[in-house]
Amino acid sequence: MKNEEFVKNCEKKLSNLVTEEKLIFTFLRIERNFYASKKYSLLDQIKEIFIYVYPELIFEIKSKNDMFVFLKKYGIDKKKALKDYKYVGTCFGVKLSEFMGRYILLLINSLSNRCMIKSEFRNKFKIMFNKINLLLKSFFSKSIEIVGLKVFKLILLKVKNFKKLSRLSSSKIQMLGAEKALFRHIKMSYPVPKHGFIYFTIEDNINNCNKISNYEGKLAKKLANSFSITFRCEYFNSPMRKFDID
Amino acid sequence: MKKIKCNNFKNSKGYKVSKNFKNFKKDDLNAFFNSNELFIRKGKNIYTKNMFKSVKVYGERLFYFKGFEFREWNPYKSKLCASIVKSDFIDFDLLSNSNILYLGASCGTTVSHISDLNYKKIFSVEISYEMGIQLVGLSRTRKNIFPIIEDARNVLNIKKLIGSNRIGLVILDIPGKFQVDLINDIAIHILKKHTIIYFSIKLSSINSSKSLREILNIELVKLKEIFDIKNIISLEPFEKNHYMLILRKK
Repeated sequence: MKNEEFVKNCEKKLSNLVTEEKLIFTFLRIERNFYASKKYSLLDQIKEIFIYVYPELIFEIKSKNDMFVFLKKYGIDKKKALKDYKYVGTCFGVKLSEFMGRYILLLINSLSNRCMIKSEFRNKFKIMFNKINLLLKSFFSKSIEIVGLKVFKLILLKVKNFKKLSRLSSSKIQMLGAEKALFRHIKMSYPVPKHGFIYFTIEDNINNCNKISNYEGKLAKKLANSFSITFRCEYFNSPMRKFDID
Repeated sequence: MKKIKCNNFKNSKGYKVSKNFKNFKKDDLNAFFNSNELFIRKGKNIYTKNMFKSVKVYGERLFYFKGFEFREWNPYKSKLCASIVKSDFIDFDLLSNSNILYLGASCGTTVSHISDLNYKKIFSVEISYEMGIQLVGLSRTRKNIFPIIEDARNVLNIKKLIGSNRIGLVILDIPGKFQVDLINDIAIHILKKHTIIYFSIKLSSINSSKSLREILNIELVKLKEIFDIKNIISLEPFEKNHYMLILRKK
């Protein structure tokens, strides 16, 4: 009995599981680490993108030099890619849309320049982050108006799935950043938490917080209620719903 | 007392190796050599012989001894390693000479160390796609590992894939409320008599409001119907609220 049959079965399953939605969430995660105070190496973050495009050869990359050599061997021709950007596939045969496929190819081809300065290297990622912000604003414009882009991304990174967010109740969305306080309330009978990530919308958008400190809980409740309804309307009308079978 | 000398102080690429193996005495070593010198234990650190030279799986350190290359196994990262460091109850003959079912093999960090030791098959189960891609990549080079991307609760699907291979050891590392129910289902459908299970239980995921002793006692009562409990090992300071249970099916 050989393990090659198992490997083939796994590849078939993975081709059904890898989607564009996952790519968006990886870039959101990279963006969060990009601007965080802790040091995350860009090489490790680029590897996460490679997992989708060239997963077979990820174990051959041990250093930066290997990455550049690898890109020249297996990289795609720029001219062909820009002409045929409507269809772009991964090693597992997953089709990417026009938007994601084009910009990912440009990113990968731009990373093959070894002589690039560090600032240029980082600017390429910033272009990608701005494009994803535009994509989110095009699909979920009204829900971002309610809560703000910053909080919308925090909520998405916590839930990691559009389908799950559409199924969540508004009370859970209200509490999404405050799990520690919630379990403290359950165990040791501390007071109930009122808000999680939604607190940042109240803080950013309202100037006089002294008078509103009595109404924070009610504001958070109303924000969460309105956000949950608008997100569901926009999600079921967006093209992200094609992966939702239930 | 003879001093064992290590000639290779540098890697093949010219990087310096640490001086842990430079001059050490046999009495200081809790050495545990198999016939093929696969495994070394020195105090708190454990090392396994590398199947492929100068290849790292997850960025671990490499050491040289008697002309062989060894990989460091971190007890803070894997629970099996923590249980080995804390106690002597784990059977290395089983690890090396039996088919293993590993539930919860995320990226393949502990699975890679077990594949260095094992001569037979390791059926590694993982549910997520991100970890599954790395697992599949590992299994292309290491022919011991048989990856299965499936929910561990679908026991019948796993049984079909395993087929007629007899399993001598089960290692379970999945946190959640359904841990005990999962093992009971596996024991009923897949396992035969007197198979041994290394079950790392996470008590805070079962119930967060009660104390640890209450939860442990409740779960042990559920397990005693099907299993004989041989040992209970606490994994502190490496893991909080974790225990390693060594079970045997009746």
